[in-house]
Amino acid sequence: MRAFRSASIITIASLLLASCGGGGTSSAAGPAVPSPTPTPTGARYAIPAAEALTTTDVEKIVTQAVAEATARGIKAVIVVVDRPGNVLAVYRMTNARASVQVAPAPNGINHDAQAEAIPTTAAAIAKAITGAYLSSGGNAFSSRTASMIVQQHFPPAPVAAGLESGPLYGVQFSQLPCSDLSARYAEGNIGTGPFVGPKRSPLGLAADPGGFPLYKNGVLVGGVGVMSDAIYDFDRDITDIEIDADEYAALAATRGFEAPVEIRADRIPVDGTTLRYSDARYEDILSTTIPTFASINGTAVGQLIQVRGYFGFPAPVIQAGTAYGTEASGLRLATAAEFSRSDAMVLTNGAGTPRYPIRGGTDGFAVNALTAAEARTILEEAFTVMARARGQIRRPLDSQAQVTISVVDTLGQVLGIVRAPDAPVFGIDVSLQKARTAAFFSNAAAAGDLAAATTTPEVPTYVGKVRTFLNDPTALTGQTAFSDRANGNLHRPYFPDGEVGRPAGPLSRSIEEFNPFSTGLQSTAIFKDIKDHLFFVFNVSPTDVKQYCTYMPQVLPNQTRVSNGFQIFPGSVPIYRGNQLVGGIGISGDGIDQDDMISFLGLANAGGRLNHSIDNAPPAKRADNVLVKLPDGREVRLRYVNCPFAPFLDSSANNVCQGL
Amino acid sequence: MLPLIALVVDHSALPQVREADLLGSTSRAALVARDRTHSTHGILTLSMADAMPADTVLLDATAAAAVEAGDAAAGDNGGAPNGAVGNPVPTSAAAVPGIEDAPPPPPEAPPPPADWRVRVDPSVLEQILDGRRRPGWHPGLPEAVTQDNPGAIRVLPPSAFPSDTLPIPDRWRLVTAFCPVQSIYVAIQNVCHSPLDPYHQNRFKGDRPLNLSGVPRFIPFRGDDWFLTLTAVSDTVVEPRTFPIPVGVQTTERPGSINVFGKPDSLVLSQTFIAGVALTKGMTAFKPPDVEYRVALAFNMNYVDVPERRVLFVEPSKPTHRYDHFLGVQEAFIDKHLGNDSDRYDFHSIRIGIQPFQADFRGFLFNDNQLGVRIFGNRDNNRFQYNLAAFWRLEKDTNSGLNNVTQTPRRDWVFVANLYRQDFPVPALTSQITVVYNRNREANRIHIDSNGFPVRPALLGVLRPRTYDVVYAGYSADGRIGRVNLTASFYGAFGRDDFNFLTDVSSEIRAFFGAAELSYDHDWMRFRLSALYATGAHFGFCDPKASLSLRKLNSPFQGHPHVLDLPWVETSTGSLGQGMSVAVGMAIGLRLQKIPARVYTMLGDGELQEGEVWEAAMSAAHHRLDNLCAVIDYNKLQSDNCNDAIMRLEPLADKWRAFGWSVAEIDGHNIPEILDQLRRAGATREKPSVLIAHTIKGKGVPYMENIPTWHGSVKLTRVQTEEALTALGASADEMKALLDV
Repeated sequence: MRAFRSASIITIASLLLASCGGGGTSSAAGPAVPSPTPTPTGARYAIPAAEALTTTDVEKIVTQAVAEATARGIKAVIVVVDRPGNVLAVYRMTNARASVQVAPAPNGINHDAQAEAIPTTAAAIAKAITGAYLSSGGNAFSSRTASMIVQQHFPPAPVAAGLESGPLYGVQFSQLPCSDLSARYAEGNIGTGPFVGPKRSPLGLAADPGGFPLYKNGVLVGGVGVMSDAIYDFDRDITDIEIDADEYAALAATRGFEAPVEIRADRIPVDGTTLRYSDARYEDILSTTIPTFASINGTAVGQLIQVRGYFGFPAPVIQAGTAYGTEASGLRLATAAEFSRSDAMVLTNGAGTPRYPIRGGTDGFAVNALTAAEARTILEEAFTVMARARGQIRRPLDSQAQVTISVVDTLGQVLGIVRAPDAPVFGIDVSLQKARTAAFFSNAAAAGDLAAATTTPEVPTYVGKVRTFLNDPTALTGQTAFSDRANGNLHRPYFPDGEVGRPAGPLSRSIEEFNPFSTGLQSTAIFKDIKDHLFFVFNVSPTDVKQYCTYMPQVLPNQTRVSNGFQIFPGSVPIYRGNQLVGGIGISGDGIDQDDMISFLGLANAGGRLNHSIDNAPPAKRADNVLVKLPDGREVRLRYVNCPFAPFLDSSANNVCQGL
Repeated sequence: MLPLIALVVDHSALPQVREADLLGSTSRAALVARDRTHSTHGILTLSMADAMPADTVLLDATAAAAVEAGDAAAGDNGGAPNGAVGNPVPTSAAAVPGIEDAPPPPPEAPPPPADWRVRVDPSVLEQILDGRRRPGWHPGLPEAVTQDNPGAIRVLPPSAFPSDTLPIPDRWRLVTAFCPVQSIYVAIQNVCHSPLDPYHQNRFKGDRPLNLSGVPRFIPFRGDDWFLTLTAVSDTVVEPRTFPIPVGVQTTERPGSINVFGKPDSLVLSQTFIAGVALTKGMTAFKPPDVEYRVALAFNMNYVDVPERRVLFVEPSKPTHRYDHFLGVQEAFIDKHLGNDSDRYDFHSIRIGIQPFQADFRGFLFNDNQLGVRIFGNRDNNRFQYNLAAFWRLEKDTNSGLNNVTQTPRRDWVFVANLYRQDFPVPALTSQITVVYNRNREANRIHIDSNGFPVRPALLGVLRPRTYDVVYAGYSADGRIGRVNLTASFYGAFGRDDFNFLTDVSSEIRAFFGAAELSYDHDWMRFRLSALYATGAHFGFCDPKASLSLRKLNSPFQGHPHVLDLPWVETSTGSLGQGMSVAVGMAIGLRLQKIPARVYTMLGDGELQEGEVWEAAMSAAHHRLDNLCAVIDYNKLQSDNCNDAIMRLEPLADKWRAFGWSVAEIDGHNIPEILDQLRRAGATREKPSVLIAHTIKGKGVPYMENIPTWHGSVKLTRVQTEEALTALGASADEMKALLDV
């Protein structure tokens, strides 16, 4: 999330006011070497307390939602999840819709998820997951917040047409049901670590209002999602105040579990624009009496229901939440042997074993692979940069950034995932998507993999589109190092990003066909997987989707290079050994400039420690050398990374990535 | 004035004096006289610092110089000497400080006569050279000059007039009076008559009236007092600048731009030509014009070159330099003189159209050329001045900042009233009071500038459309107090913003501003001290720490929340008993405005001893205020003791019923029962409702329950706090959090 458009506007204002005279001077050039990173000592991060929703809490949340839905005359499906993503309740009011329609394309020519019929339960789960996953102890985001940051302009408002896209453009296609990283619900909660997170979402993250985080004693414990209306939509204009019954029911459900006021999205600005938490207001909630759960469950009001792949097998009963940070949640603090930096969190299988122990590259047959020590060094240095970085989305101000760091090899295989103890959960899957996407587009095999994609006939066409657009018949064969910021430049419905009147980037839908439910290659590559899954959820298909995304060639058995899908917003860079691609590092969980810096500077510092045996891409190879000539002769350069303004808590340095 | 000889300790003057010393006395005198003519100060300086042997000589020379210079000056100027003419005594002691011990006086000098007149033949006193004067002798006025050439006037000697002013019929003749067509002063002649000279008199800059004799009849200008003023201004700005400039978000000018800041150097060129035409009717130098028509157009050309993309245009593909030009209407008004009120032309005038206006001395609040109507004038020999103005703000062109009259004006209006008073409160200081009301109704308008960037609503905060009303009240002063120059302004801003851009809620505006500049002039130096202070507007977030000062003096949370301390408090709660009256007033007001809201008022049981409560109760029943609900916190205790020990309330419910209220008695600790009864109260018609809530003071904390001394003195020890929190069922974490505050 950028903090700098406002800075540029201030600059413009000062240029306009030139005749007023004055104006200070200061050097914009920063140091040519990274600031020394202090050795971390002792506890650096506050560890979230182990809180969890009890079954009584979940009942209360459901009944509050039902009361408000009743007061507003809607028939809704209500879902409660915990922070790791386990579904604790799916309650369907009698006569609630069985399915809803995804918002169609603006011009009616639908692609991917647009205009698809989806189970109402899936929509409600996605909303609840969104509330739980986008939030943390330092920020409380709702599905309306998500809507604000995934559109073609940020902020989505009439006054802002022409500005660049939302900072988390594309995040809706994460936590995918096909993700190899996300855990799946085990019917009967059997097996090892049934409550391990992060869990998947049937539709990725939601932009339809009606999903909120739930807090208990100030600690994030889950999310609630409500779906009743016919369209699974998003908020196109944040300046109006929508009266959305789903949002009211979900907000009413949070009573007693409200997000602390100080960390709600409406106290957190991005580029100077305050994010939206809710158009619904607590004081306008209509319901006053809250029925008992017994009076609404299995009665004429409604009942708990099963949802395949998520909840209620063998019988639908309310589940207690799993405390985030415990072994059972699959997200716990690393032991000293697992990771050297204090307060790091790793993913485990719920039985004590790390799911992604740090290891060397699996691609030694093709490249001079990353060693385990190198992967570890990259993770350590990125963690150190993160611990110094000023968080952009967290309150109170001057909190440390908290993100998830993923390192992959050229096959997209995970070489290690570590995270800060209170980083938003969504960033686990997203950081891996970003690492894989950077490694994929920088890979010599990119064009071949895309061209060889089966079952999704549109995917191979993107190779030609990119080559035509860049006027480079060899594009996507590894000549260029693509960060996810650069990849995202090509993956927007305007090129350059946000410039109204320009045609789309080669990986994107055109603006006439675009909405957040179809972004282009990103959504096309995985929509068959989502659809397979929804058939399963709908009980149409007996089998669930495969546990790896896309139909591109399998580089290992049941693994593609992007096994949890592409991600197309900034926060990753490819890793090079000299001129050879050896992997990628992806970051997610804070502002996108922070994510960029932690990946780029973390890798640069690791290179420094390792005598440059590995490093960032050589400057000449980076995507910011790619100049796209537009039809009217203007030239537009791709971006590589953008390190943020005053990024560190322990220094006032600027331009900290200069010269690296 | 004739030069007196001043001795000043000044080494720098020494060589000059020595030079004088080397010359003969005649030459010396000439030298001094020349000094006198060409030096504005004209004081011959001597040095006392060097105890030189030539002291005596010097003094002699000085005396001679004084005499001769004095004569020369008197002869040249006809000026009035000041007692030194013909008097060989060098100087008075006062004018020559410290000279006493330098030359010893002549030993046998006779004492000066008491009065020189006694030694002079009286007839000599009557004899005086033509043009000379003598102190103490007044020969009487010269004979009056008889005018025999009709129409001609001769400049009379100043002494012919009792004052130093000379009436001139028209202001444009002020200069011509000193600048006749034929004159021996060639230099002045050039100034007066060269068309290249800025002081040249010209019909086109209003020096002389227009000759309207040949003007066709249909043009409604008559008379010989119309003036045309043409103005042309050229303003050029060349400004190289260096400051941090961010790189473009979507694309950058150069590869390797991986940080937020790019190159810092930029260049701004701006050229503005302003052309104005004014047509003025009015006769004299001091009388304000009767009417004025004025138009001024400004044409601006600007060029900016910056190093990074997306700074000048919202479109990142556009180049990093920009040329733009614009023609703006900066003035277009009619000023009509409404009349004069006094001999000294105190007047009232009205000015309609696009006009410059500055609301205070420094333009802190409003300083712009805007479309408006302004009535202004003065009173009491210009000691009072006033403005009453209303402006409808025009949109500005983005890159020139000039008025853009081709766009719809903004939905923003400014109303100004101010009053100036000269020499108040002290002489030489002008005081001003100002009231400005700004009414903004731009909620449904968005404005994007010509570079594509959003302007309104500003890309800041919540972006919700909003309207606001603000009244600024201020005092300004300008002038001096003694030798200290002062200019100062103080403002308070009060109003309401229906969607605060940070908090997203309606909020009170209450902010203050003060600025002052003191300066002191010494010789050519000016020493200045400036200060500016502005409070942040209160956005309505409440500082949670402030609540820790509950019942402390000067705290917003002192025992009775006060409307001035807490912007979200609509009425203060003290004195006891008033709350009920306020509630009755609110309920009546809501009913009159047909607003379906309800009013709830909490009453303490001790408060019921206030007679005002019962007056209000009677009034509420009389007015059938069914939108009013009172809740009595009936814990049977008050500050000092049990109610019953002070004044018995029972039978309380009967009392309220007798007053015509709908009464319910409830358990004040049972939330469902409270909610249920509140709902019933809401459904009651034609009667106000009262809920008598039986409560236990200190409920849940055993050592507090029903003990009156805990009423107003909540000073807890840590142990007591822990005990209370335990009794209330606080978790360990809550306990820790609350105790560690």
